[in-house]
Amino acid sequence: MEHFLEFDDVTRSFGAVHAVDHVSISIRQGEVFGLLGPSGCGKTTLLRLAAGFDQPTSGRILLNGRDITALPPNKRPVNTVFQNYALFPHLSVWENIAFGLRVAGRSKAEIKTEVSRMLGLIQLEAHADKKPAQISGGQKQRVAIARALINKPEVLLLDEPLAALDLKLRQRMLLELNKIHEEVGTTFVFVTHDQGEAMSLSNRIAVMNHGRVEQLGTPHEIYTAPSTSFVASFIGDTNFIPGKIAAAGPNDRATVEASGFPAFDAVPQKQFPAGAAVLISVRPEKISLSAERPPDVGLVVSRCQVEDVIYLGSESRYAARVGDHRIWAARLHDRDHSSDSIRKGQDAWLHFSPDDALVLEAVTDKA
Amino acid sequence: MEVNRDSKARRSLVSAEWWLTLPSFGWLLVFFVIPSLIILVISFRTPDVTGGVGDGWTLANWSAWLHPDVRMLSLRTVWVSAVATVICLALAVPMAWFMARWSPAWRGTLLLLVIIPFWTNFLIRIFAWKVLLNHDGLLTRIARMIGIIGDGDSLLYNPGAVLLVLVYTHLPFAILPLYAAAEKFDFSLLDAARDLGASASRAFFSVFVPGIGAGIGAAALMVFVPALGCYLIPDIVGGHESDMLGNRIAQRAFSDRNLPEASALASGLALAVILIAAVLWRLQRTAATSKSAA
Repeated sequence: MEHFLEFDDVTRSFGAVHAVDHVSISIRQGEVFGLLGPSGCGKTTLLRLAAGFDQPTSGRILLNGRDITALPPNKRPVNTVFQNYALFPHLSVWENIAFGLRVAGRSKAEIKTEVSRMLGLIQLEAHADKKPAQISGGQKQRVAIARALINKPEVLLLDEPLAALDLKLRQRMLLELNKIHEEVGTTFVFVTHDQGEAMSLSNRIAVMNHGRVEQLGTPHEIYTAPSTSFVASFIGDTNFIPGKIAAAGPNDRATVEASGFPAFDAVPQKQFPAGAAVLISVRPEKISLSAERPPDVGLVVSRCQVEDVIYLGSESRYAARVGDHRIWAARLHDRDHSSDSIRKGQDAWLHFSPDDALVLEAVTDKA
Repeated sequence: MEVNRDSKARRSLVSAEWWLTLPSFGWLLVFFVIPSLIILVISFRTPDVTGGVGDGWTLANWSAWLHPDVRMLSLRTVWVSAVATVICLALAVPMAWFMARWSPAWRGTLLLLVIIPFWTNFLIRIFAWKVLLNHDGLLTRIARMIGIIGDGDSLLYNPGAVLLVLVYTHLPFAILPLYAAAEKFDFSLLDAARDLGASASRAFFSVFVPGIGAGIGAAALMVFVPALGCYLIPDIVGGHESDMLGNRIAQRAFSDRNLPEASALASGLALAVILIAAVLWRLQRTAATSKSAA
């Protein structure tokens, strides 16, 4: 289903501040949808609106075509996994998971089978009688997921599901979340400030900033074709080179100029008039360094000075000076050791393909 | 070596703690334990005709507990104290909830309002109720106007008045420990309960109330125990049919000048209170250890 959980022009204001500012998002049935953004971008507010803990100032929230905007949280077929898990400390793991079914007044036999099934799914059968204080962070996380999923919600909301875990555990829980999603098939909507989490878990991502959706797309689309400079800088690392449109060409193409680089032809993200100021974004892994001048067929080539070399194990990063710009280039260490010859302080050649250069609107930061 | 020095430092810290608590222990010993023991000893002496304590030893004073009047008074005392405790909790639990949910700036003000009555003398506050409840008092006139009571009826000198003033004077003792517990309560648990389908009242009773369990235990103890021993309130606003054990003890001590029997009643009451407190303490300790065992 294309329009399963829909935010229809939703705004939530706190006084003059728009925490969520005219957001419209359609989430598909069964997908894992990530709400990604820095803290204060409105992603958590959006999640709380979906759960029913908060009411939008204007706009509607639809689930499966039904307007649920005014429904209290206990009447919504939606369950939440809270960031701090919010497990009931006075109840055992078993009782925590059974809570929703008990409230719903299910029979004892049914509760017993369902809870055992959930304990099996999260593999915590041995800890059923323990109190939340007696189990580890990762285990709490799994209990929180089971407690939410046992109610068979139409949408599972996850608030920063992995933020409270340490790095190793986070990677394991990431795989586990994927596995759980495959098994239950419920629509997952989760909030995160971690782009890695968003990229690896989501089918689609909405990148939010200042209460608005900056871009919505698959992780691949968002990484390879960010539509704004905010998205380009928030998702992965990138080099921003200020430039301007020298001439608007045919077929949406334009000639782009930046000091220190030869002018080149590219397809900007939107149509710019000649003379417009733009930001050229090139990811470090798309920039190559070489000691010899490369054949500049179809490449943007520039002379540079290597200012820093940072060795990171699997890759190295080079900071290269081109005029006023400091450009980062990254190189994976595979069997090819050709770039090992590049040393700090030496002069070198820097080159990238115009197809890897994104031409974005030059915005003065709104923050 | 490190370990050695560490344990030595810890030992000196422990002994420092010991010295620091010594004054309070000393205070309790001199002004509570020793007087209680003296009363306990007196309860086994014979009374003398001048109203003092005689030289003989006897168990007869303790048989005062078997007197039908005393048994009736005991039942009433327990009953009135229990009802007062339940009413105080019923008022204080929601109050603690609201105080904890208020902005921190307001909490201080509310807390002050709860404590302010303590600035006025206990006796004066009870007498103030006498003014409000007497046959010309404001509350009596209002009650008469609404038709709750007839022209000849009085709001004063009955068990209801005793209960009312008991609740009034002991409410702050219930609010304070409950507020302390509610302030530490994680209110996001209520969101979680609501999210899992619980109504607001279900979330309140199945998550908030157990969550402040320790506070409820403390509050119940803080109301029930002083209420058991209270005699001023039934003495001032109560009638004959609302006397409590405290009044009997006061009567034996002050009017009848039978100190040994008054001591037997007082010691019996004190022992009962210590027993209740010990049981509650034990319960809370087992609950706490099962919670913290990791």
